[in-house]
Parts: sequence; structure tokens; C-alpha cells
Amino acid sequence: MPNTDPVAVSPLMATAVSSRHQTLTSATIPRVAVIDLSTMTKLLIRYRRELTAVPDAFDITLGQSTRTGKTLTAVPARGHLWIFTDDSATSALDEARQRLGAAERGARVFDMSHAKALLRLTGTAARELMYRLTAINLEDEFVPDGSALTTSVARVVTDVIRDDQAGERSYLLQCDRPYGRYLVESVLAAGEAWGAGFRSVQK
Amino acid sequence: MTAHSRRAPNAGHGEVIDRETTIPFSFNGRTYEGHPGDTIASALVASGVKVFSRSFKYHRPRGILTASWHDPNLMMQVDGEPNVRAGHRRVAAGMNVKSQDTWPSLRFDAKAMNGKLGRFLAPGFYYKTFIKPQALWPSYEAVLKRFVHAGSVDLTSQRPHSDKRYAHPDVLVAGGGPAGMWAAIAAADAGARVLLVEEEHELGGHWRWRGQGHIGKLAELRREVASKAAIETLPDSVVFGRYDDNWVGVVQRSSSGAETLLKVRPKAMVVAVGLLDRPYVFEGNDLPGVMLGSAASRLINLYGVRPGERAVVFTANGEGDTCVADLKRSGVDVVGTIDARQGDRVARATGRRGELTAVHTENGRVYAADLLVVSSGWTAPTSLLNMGGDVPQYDREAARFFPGSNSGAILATGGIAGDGTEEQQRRHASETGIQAARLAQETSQSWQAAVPTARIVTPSLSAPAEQVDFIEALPREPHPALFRASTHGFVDFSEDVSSKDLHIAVAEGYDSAELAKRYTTATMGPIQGKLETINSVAVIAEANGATIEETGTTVWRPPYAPVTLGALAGRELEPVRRSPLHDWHAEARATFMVAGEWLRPEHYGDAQVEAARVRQAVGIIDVTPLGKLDLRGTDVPRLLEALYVNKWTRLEVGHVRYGAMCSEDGVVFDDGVTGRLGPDSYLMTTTSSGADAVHEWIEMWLQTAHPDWDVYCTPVTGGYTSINCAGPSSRELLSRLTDIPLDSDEFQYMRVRRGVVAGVSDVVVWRIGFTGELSYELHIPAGFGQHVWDALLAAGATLGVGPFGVEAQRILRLEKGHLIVGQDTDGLTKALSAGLGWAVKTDKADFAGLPELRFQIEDGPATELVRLVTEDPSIVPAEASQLIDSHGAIIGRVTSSRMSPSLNRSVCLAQVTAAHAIDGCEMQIVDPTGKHQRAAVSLELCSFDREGERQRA
Repeated sequence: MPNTDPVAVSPLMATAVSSRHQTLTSATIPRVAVIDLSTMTKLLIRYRRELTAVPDAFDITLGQSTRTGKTLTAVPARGHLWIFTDDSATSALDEARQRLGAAERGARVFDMSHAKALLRLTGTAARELMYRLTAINLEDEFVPDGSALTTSVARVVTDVIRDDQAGERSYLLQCDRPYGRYLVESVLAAGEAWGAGFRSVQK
Repeated sequence: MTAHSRRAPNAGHGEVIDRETTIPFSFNGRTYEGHPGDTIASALVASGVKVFSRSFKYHRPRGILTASWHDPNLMMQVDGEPNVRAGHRRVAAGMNVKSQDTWPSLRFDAKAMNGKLGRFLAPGFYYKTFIKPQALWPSYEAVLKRFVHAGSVDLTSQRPHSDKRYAHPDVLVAGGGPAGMWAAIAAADAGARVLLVEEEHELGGHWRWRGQGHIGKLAELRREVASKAAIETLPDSVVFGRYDDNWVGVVQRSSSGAETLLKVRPKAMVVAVGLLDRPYVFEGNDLPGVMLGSAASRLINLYGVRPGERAVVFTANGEGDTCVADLKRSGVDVVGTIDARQGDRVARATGRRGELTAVHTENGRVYAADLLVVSSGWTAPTSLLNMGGDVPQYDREAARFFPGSNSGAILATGGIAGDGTEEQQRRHASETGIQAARLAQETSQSWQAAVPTARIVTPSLSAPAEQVDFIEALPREPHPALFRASTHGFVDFSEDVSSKDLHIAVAEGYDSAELAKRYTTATMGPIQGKLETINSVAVIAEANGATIEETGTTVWRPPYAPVTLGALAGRELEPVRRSPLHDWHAEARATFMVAGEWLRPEHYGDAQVEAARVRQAVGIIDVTPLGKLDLRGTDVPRLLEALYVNKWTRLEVGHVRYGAMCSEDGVVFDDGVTGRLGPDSYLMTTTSSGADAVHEWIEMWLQTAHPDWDVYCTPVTGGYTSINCAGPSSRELLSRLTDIPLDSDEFQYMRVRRGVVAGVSDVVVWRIGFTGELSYELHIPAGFGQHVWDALLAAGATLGVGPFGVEAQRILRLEKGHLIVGQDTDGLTKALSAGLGWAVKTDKADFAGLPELRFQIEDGPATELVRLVTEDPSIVPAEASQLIDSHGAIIGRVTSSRMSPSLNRSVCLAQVTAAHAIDGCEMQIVDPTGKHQRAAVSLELCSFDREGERQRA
């Protein structure tokens, strides 16, 4: 048996992202920043569209996201409810099932923590940067803070969640893990004009 | 001529150059000077250059016509960039400018011989001449390609890359002249977000060069636009097309040649593109020295350049009169004014050595001049309106086309919509801007009501738009109908099409505008009809004895202006997928291959060594790209029964089974193994490149055929790092990292277990054997993949473990005769032809492809998958080599072929016709070089360990 404890590695490790891009420190404040959140716990609750009891249990509807403390819940696509949290997968699963209650009978809960790459794109130029990569209309009247949708970003299927930080525009972008590094490289390349930089968060 | 010899001493009204600074550049190898702000053309005119290019067909010398981006005579090669518009591109230090397609020089162009053959190059020349004999077309084509009139792309030059972005303004205003600016300001004041697109370098339209009286007002208007945060201004950009649902294409240019493509989805559009000077058709109208009034005014006022020394002005309107004043002010000797309003006309222009020397009027006067300025009327570039469905209407009194009617969310204002006083124009434009904002607001509200992300339906306009129910139409000023003189001249300067050519086309039966356009190519050049359409229509009408109203226009289609392929390509976005082990592979100097967007290690130096290691000891391969679908629900067995050709209802928990999928036509489209992890929990694997298609296929079944089934299908390919540990020592290796019982009695072939491997929980381990060896496939929570990979290498060091790539895996599977869907099958290969007859269970009630496979069983397969044994064991035939029989008839093809290190000979699979799928049947392999090799068929696909003892060990 190996004598080292297993360590989960993010798909967006700073060392893995091309050295062409600026690596942010806490003192660096560019107009747009990319932060790796891949090590967060990500739960997916699948449910049939007629099972409104599932989103009701989380007080959420299609296209919306809500934040409770450090836990974010979002329904970017019909029948797909996501929970993002810093809690462990085990406790998050327990809490999700508890919250689902009877509604769980018609739903399935998946731990997708390892299956997805998650990054935060934040800053005053975040929307302009996104317009380099996605055709979706992100103007405030259509995608206000607290919105969630699934679309194509840089030609990759991506969940986009508007989750402003301290009044500053911010998007969470989630894609399949194998596309993660490509997506972050595409975002950083599109953001060169705004001095986009990257920060990795390792758990 | 010397540098700046034609530069007027007095600054122009609206001058944009910096006279204090000079910039050196070269044109056709000679050094010239310009000032910052100069276009290439203005700088050259300032130095006395009159000839800039040669024409498309006859290679006639050409000078300035419009002095703008749309000048057909000012397309040049600048450094490595072809077709640069010298009337628009600003001069830069060190710029290397060349005329295009001129040989040996611009002044003495050998292809000008075409002009002597002009009467043989009549309309339809190509169709008539090169149609027969057809066999000679390749030869014709080779010669004709040499006459392509464009620059050359220098593949060695470094070009800035093009970009692409999306924009979602409320209102897009096409045209940044005064009307466009008024409309933009009004729309912004009404609360709309506005994108204001202007083709020139600065806002202002014709006000920029129309005299001192406009300069102050223009500065004020520009300041007002700049003060509106809701207006994004895009100078040096063009709206090139309007597509369905108000999808609008905009290209933003730059001085470096880099372009940005904007895909704009405005809610309303205002077309304020103004009017263009139209040429007049007469003999010699293409001589260098004949130019439009706006060209002369631009050169004088924007760049302080005298366009000639002795000028004649042919005028039919106030703009021409203003031009006379501009010429005189800049020091040009205006020797004559031909006033169309007084009934006088230009008849012809004559020249010497390709330059204008004299102007002849219809009433017999002759002027000696080197400059003829023509202000004979306007062309309304209505194409953006037409792309939205509008049909332009000809107004005989005003002698130009107007928009038919404002349609939907596309509105017109400015000169294109009518004439009138400045105040009338301002009011019309402002009301149009408000109307556009209101339309945008209505659209926005309907969208918000439909989009789930929009929480509250709120007006997008911050202030209630003033209600504009009726916009008073602009008046239309009468104008002489001037199209052609008594002589013939050029109608289309881009394509060298004359009025005579159009008359010939009509005489030959191409009497509609659409037919004559295609027959002569009039309006089909780079200018896309902006200067030519109305004259073409007028000449066709004249030839038909019809009116312009009766003749109508040709259809305007995108693009309004040429767009480079680079701009359309935009930013390179080619998604790639990487395994969590990618960096390890890279550090191990793996050679990567792309498979289904995945970057996979093909080998680590020597695939033969890697394959031998698996046979002799143990190897590990990264199989993360294998498609993986998490299937949950009580009805999963029913789904599997429907998808796979074999049976699934009795798959027990802990078991794994191979399955093949066919589409409804019985063609094999994927295969893989599926394991039952729990009572209602399954993990399906697919081929690497087929994962997305299988997912879609399953969703089609679940969403359309059986929404009643309790099944959730979730793609989890990226959720697992998948590692296959294969070889006789694989059990020993894995036992060093896990407590999962691995004895063959405890963990049999085609079984699945879950457990802890190298300290990582929830690892799915199944025992399968694509390589034909004892092997275990580990599906590890992806983030821990590198940890387990490292642990396997460390724990197996004493066992001789090493990585192997896709190439080694292909050798090993080929030795076993295992097929790869897509490699050993194609888009027509049904299950029996793929050697999967054993798996097809026709006694099942139903599954995808069953009826077709029943037919195949009854009729017998047309082709079969066989093993091919080359007579010379050292020959490894190229894949896709054809197989022929003794008569030379094609009877099949090689589908897979490799050298086997275990067998020390080649191993091949092939598809052959059923008649030749007989043990021992001999045939010839024809390799791509045409060389023949003898081979024989074996119906036993497996070459190695036929009893399967190794994988079942």
C-alpha cells in the first residue's frame, strides 16, 4: 500500500495552465480575473420536469440561482439542480437528501465533484470578455445577478451562473472536467486585452 | 513631381492630416512621403501619382474614382496583405505598397493586350469559348487562373489574428453621418443602448468634407455622441449583412489589417448610410483624371491635396457646385463647368498615355484638362433594407431609388430616405431614433417574458420613449436623370463591363436585370453594385425600351462589403479534452494523437516494446477517454434491451457484459461494456469518440420513445480517470494496492467490484480484456487519477510495469481479433458484417435495428470481417488497401493492419465480400503505390491465445 494520502488534483492547476497568462496574487486586481473553484463539492440532482417538488424544496426555479452562506444552488437547465458548496460531498449529500425529503423518491442525487471543472470569472470586464466566447445575451435585463443557464462558451457546453461578488459582476462557469483547461485557456486568451489573470485554489 | 507637390498650401475644411510630420513609404519600389492621417491614395496623389491600378479584364490604367473604401481602382497589395483599400487605409511608416496583378510594371502592363482583343471578349466570352471541348477545361482553368485580378497572400508574413465578439444593443445605427448621429443620440436619450457603426475613420459622413460651415456643427455633434455612455461607437467598421431575425454582421477594421467580426443581435436597426455619388457613363469615363465630386472634395478638404491642375466640372446639383468652389480654393484652374441643369452633358473624355487630356461636351465644346469631376447624381445603397425584405422603389423625379417601406424593426433615415433641409433631416433622424428605441423596448419586454433567467419584466428603457406614431416623410428633390451620354462607357469599373456589353446581353436575350447581371457580371465585383446598379438598370432599361421602374433592381444579398475569410474565421476555438494524466504523459515525452477531441498518448517512443511488455509483464494505459454514462433507475434493463443487440435482463449485480449497438438500419454504431454496480445503478462505457452520440441516442429513447421509463442517464466520462492495468503480472500489481479480493475465483472475468485502491475510495474495478491479457480496468474519481497512476508505477517497478499508448493497445487487440467500431466498420456495416452475428439475439422482443438485422440474417451479409494472412509475414499492408481477386475485381479492403511483436508477423483484419469470406480464399492486396501482395482469408479472427486462457487466468 502506498504511504501517501491521496490528494485530489484540480483540472485547472496553476501549473497546468499555460505560462503565457498572468498568475494572480491577492494584490493583483485586473479588470477581469479567473479563479479556479474546481475543488468545490458539486452535487447534481436530476428530476423529471413535472416534479416541481424538487426545485420547490430548494425554493428555486428554472434559470435561477440562490446563495445561502457558502452554498450556491442553481437550476441552469430543466431537470438539473446543482449544489455547489465547500462542505464535504458526504455532508452535502446528506443535507440535500434531507432537504429533498419525500421529493427524493422521484429524483436522483449525483456527486459530480470530480466530473466538472468550475471557475469564477469576475471583474468589470467580465461580460465583455464573455461576449468574445458566447452568443448569449448577458445584458442585465436578461441575465441579472442570480441567473443560471446552460449554453455554449468557447464551443463547450457550459453552465453559466451569474453570481456577483460584492457588487462586482461575476460568473461561475462549469464544464465537463476534460474541457476545463481548454476553457480556462480560452477565457484567458479572450481576456488578454483586459489583463486577465488566473488564480488557482487548491483544497 | 516631387513629394507633396500637389499638396495645397491652404488647409482643407476638415483637414485630418498632421502637416508637421512626414511618413516615408514605398509604392512599387519607389519611396514617397505622406502625413499622419493621409490615406495611401491621398499621399500618392499629393506626390503627383495619377495611375494606381489596372482594370480587371482589359488592364486599362485606372486612377482615383471615389477616394474612399469603395473605390474599385484603389485595391492594392500592402506588405503581405492583398486587396487593401488605398482610399481608406492610412499610410504608415515603412509601408510597402504595390499595385496588384501588373506585369512587368504598372505603367507598362503586358496584359493590357487584352484591350486590343476587347471586341473578342464580349459578354459571355468564357461561356462561349471554354465550354468545348470539355476535356480541355483543366487546361483552360490553369491559364485563366493567371488572370485572377487580386493580390497574393504572403504566407510568410505575420498577420495579426482576427477576433470575433457578440453584441446585443437595443438599437444598431448603420452609418455615422449626421443623420446616424442624430438617430443614435435620440435613441440613447430614450434609454436605449446604441451601437453606432461608421465605415470611415471618423463620424461625420459628408459633413467632414462639405465645407467650413459644417465643421463646427460636426464637432458639436461628435461631442454630444461621445458624451452618451449608452452609445458605443465603432468607426472604421461596416455593417455587411442583415440576416434572419435581425442578426447583423459587422466587421471592425484596423490600420494593422486585423479585423474583428461582430455578431450583433439588435432589437431594432436604423439604416442611415447616406448616399453615394454615382458615376456617369460616357466614353473614356475610366481614364485616370476622371473622378466623382465627392472624391475631389475629400482630397481637397480632408487631405489638402489638389486632385489636378486644370479641371472641368460636370455638375447636376449643389454638391457639384460646392466642388467647383473647393477646387478653386485649393488652387486648381477650373477651366469649364458643364451644367446638366442647363441641358449640357459630357460626351466623352480622351487622353494620352492613359491619362485624361481633353473633355468633349455633347454640344461640341472641347476642354483641355487633366481632371474631370463628375457630380451627376446619387446612388442609394439600400441593400441593408433590402436584406430585411424591403423592395426599393424608383422615383423618376428624384432619379434615384428609395426604400419601399419601413419594415418591422428596420428603419431608414438620412439621405437614403429623402432630402430636405438640415432641420427636416435632423427631425426625421431623431424621430427615427426614438421609434427604434420604442421598438427595441417592445421586443425587449417580449423577450424578458419568455426567458427564464429574466426575473422581472421591466422596461429596458430608462426613460419613457416619446411616442412617435408618425414620422413625417422627407421631401424628395427633383434631379436630372443622368445615366449615360450618347457614347458608351464603363458601367462596372470592378468587372470592366461597359454599357455596350449590357446592350449586347439584352440583344442576346438576357433582357432582365437579373439575367444581364449574371451574363455580364455587372455589379458582381468587389464593390457589390454600390456604384454600378442604378446605371446598369438604366442601361438595361434603355436597351429594352423600358423604364427603370419597369426594369427594377437586382436582389441585394449579403455581404454589403467584402469580408475577409480571416474575419469570418475569427478567434480559434477548437475544444480539446485532456485526461487528468495529461501532464504526466507530456513529461514522459508521449507522442499525442487527437481522437474525438481527446489528446491521447499514441506511444511513448516504441509501441512494439510497449505491446511486448503487456504480453510479458504488465502495462498500464490511460483509457479515460472511454465514454462513461451513469445509468440509474428501475427501468435500466429495459433501456439496455432496447439499445444493445444482445440480452441484458439477467445481468446480475457485480457483473459486466459486452454489448454492441446498432442504429435502426442495423448498422453498428458503437460498442462497449456495461457493468451493474447496484440494483438500480449501472455504468456504461462507450467508444471514446462515440460517447456523445450514444448519450444523445439514449436521451432520444428516454425523452421521445419512453418518457415513462424510470431511467436517468448522466455522462460521467470526465468524472473518472480510467486506467487499464494489463498483463500476466497485473493481478500481482493490483494486489499491492488494494484489499479487493483478486483471485480468479473471487473476481472472475467480466465481473465488477468497488473498493479502495491506493487509498482512494469508490474505485470501480472491472475485469475485462480488450488486450487479451489478464487485466483490470480501474475507474477512479478523476481528481485522484494521478495519485493512483503514480502508485501503480511505484508498486509495479519490480514487476517491470510501464505505460503503453493507443498504438500498443491497437496491436494487442488486433492480435486478439477484437474489432474497433469505425475502424473495422463503416457507415454501412451491419452487425453480421462486423462479425457480431454471435451477439445478435433475434429472439428478443425488440431492439434498435432488429428488423434490418433479421433481413440481413435471411439474405446473408454482403461483406464479412475476416482475418487476412499475408503470404510474406513481414509485409504490413497499409490500412484501406484494396483487395482484388484473380480477375482484378475489387472484393474488399484492409481495415486494420499492424506488425505483431508476439507473433513476429503482420496481423490484419479486412472486410471482404461474402463470396470471398472463405477460409483459405486467396486474393491480392493492392497497396497505395499499386504494388500487389498475396494474402489469404482466415475466418478465425483471433491470432493469439485463441482459447482466451490468458485473459481468464
